[in-house]
Amino acid sequence: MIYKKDANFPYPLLTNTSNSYNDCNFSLDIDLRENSESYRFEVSYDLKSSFISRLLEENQAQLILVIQSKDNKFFELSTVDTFIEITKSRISLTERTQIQLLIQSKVEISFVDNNDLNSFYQVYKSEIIVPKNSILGFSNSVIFDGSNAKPLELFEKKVNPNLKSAIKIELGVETIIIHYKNEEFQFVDSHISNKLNNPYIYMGLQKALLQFIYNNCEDGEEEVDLVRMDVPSDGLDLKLYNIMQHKLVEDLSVENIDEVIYLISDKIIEKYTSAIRGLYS
Amino acid sequence: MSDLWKFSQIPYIEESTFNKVLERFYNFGISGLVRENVQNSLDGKLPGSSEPVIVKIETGTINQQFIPGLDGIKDRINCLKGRNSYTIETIKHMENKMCNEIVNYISFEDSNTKGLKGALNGQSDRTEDTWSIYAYNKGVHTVENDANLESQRGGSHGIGKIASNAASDLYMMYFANCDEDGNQHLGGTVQLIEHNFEGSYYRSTGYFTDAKKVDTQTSKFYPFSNDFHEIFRKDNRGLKIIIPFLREQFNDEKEILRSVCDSFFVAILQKKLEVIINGKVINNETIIEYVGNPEYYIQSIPDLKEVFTPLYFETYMNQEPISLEIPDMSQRYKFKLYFNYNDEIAKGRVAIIRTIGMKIEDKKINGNVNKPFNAVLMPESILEDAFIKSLENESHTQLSYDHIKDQNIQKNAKRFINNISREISAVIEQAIKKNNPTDGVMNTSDTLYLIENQFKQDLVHSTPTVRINIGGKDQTVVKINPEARKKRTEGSKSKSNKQNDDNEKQKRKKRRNNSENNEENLTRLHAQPEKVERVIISNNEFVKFDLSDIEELKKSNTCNISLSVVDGMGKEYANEFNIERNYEYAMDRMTGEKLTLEKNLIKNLKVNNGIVQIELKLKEQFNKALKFVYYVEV
Repeated sequence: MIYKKDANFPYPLLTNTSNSYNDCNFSLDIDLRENSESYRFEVSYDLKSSFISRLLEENQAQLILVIQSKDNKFFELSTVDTFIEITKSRISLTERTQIQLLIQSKVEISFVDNNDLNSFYQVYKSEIIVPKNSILGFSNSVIFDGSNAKPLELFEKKVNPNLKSAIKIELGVETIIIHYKNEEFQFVDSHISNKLNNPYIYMGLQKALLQFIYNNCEDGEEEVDLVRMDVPSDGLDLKLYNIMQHKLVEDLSVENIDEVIYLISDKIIEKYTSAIRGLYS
Repeated sequence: MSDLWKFSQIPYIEESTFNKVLERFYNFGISGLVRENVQNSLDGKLPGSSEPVIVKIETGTINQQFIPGLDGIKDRINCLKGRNSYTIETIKHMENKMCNEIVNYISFEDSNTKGLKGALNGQSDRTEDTWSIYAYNKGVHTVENDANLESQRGGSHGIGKIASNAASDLYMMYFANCDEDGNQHLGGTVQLIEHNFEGSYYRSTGYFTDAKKVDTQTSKFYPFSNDFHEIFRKDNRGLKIIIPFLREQFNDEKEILRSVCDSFFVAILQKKLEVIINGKVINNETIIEYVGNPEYYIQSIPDLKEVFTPLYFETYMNQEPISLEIPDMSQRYKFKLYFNYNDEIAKGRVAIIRTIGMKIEDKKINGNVNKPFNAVLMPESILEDAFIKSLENESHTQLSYDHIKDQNIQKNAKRFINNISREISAVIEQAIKKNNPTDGVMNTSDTLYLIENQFKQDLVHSTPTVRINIGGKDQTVVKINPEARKKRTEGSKSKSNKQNDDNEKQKRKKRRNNSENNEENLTRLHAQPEKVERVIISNNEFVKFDLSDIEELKKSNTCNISLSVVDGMGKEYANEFNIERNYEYAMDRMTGEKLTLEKNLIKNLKVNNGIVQIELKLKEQFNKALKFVYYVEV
């Protein structure tokens, strides 16, 4: 559940609005990245209480991320990890989805050493004992505000009757160019010509990613570590690098190239298949 | 009064079933009924008038005693003998329904129309006596003297009238006519089966009419002049169809409205027609309020898969027509094609529209039923319109060649209908090619894209409020946004009174009235949680209120306190917690005096510079995990 309204707890609470702590602040910000498989919520928070921070460090209290969509989901968050990854099948985001960070006690906690409290509680603090599993504080909540898809200009097409093959995939400066010997190969007379060209898109991605490995791998390795590598200078490689970063791809090799294509694109082969099925069924 | 309905005598019963056409129109539902009647009204337009034909459609209820001659019909129904299970079932249904005291009806009343002519002549053979044809013949339609008008007419099979009978549980309908000279008559028909009544055999069709003896052998029908119930009246020139015992499944105002828009949107947009349905006016200006309204029509383009009216509407309104020539075996016909290509459209259909502005069908073009286009096809002139009319099936819902008997004409019709598909296919192909340029950026927006997710901070919840209750209404007096708060906690701690003033007008919220509070005419304040400090130490609870910035408190030096339990979602439970049952005693920390606990209130606390402090002794059953919000009464 998300704490939406302030109430008076029978002990001091750290929130953005209570006065129980001097100079209290507990703010949350969320960044969300995704690929075709999963969501990654990247959590950043600002917590101003040395007492609570120490409880977290000493494992006497626990950060819990609450994601409230249709139901509530709770995720324990360590102070080291700053993200939570959830497969898309487990969660659906809507514009009612809210996220909040809670601090919960893992053991019984004495407030005797809490020097962050206001003067009222200072008087009583030596006697304040909060039981295990109590809420010690909560952050502001953050509401999912929708998403928009930004199409990528990664492919170009051209008809070239002088081609020595039926089609040719060229890796250009910033785009992958598919040359067709004949416009019929593009299915120009079909209203689903886009989808009918998906296999060429797939081939183009394969070729471009192979070149990416070739251009960016260390000597002798057939693998690129996308987390550690330097940002590529080549225009097309930079585009691919950005997509893979965005779609949470961590490494690229000749072996996993198809999986990477699956992660960075949205059902290229499935859409092709259903388009063809639609033609004969 | 039992002889208001006339049935012709026959020597013996030949046919024991209901007219087959009834069943056909019954299956078309309310839309078939609306179509037939509105189309008849359009056909009856006053020649030379530039005013739109107005059709008023009304639904409602009427007591059966006001239905003219109903007893006569009931007597007949009681004599009907079914010979097969379907007929038996239908008769049973009639017998059931005819006993209802209050019955549903629908009426279609037109104006700016001619009405029927020659009612005073009664049964007549003269072609211009349209009353006689309408009232006493079925399957014959009135032929216009003007050949031009004749070809533009919507109806042509002459069976449309029976659509009205089909809509009635008793297969009965009335028509009230007012002609050019103000003569008002009421007629009607009922479709039963051939039957034996009081020893004689009678035909299936009955007429609501008077009859006069012409000579000793023959009598002739003359209509009743109209002094019946107001629902059956027609006071100005035109025709009014009244259908009592309207079938339940036909009685659907939304569906009536949709049928009008579906079939006649062009007539309405061209100001040839205006329809008023139970007071809702549909004309060229208001039709968009219905066609563009999700209550009546699906609005999302990809989801328009069965009804295409919103698409046709847009195509017709926004596209420039292109000229299209469609040949049959001997000549070429000219049409206007309004054509729209849009990737979002799931099903491609062409609305075939007659010049009177009525849609005949949602034509599927061979090989293009799933192409993303929408089109409206209209004849350029009467020549094309007449040809299209000849291809309509009986119920005006399809172009077909099956109903044509002459082999050569049928072959020609088939050729023409195929050519419609061929010509429009060519237009579609062109549009697709235009939308698929061979060179340039490839559109991969459905497979390759980046998703940007956005979040917003929930500011509403982090702006707590203090509410003052005056006369049962809570008023917000303090509202702090987190930014202002941050500054305050980081910088100086002075309180801004100006902020109070600024926010005084904000958020007003109704609360349940607590009757006890009003007795003493007290003001009730919601104590903002951040102004309250609360702690439980073993069996003692200490609570401190800082209410120094609330004006109302400055005038008073005592107050009462009440409280409500709040759950994790912030929901308040006003009557869940009982003060007397949970606290042993309460003590004012300022004075050291014990306080009265009464009517769920802690009473007469001392206010010292806005500060109130209480110490409470907990009883054993007190739940230490509870969270509270407090109210202060001054």
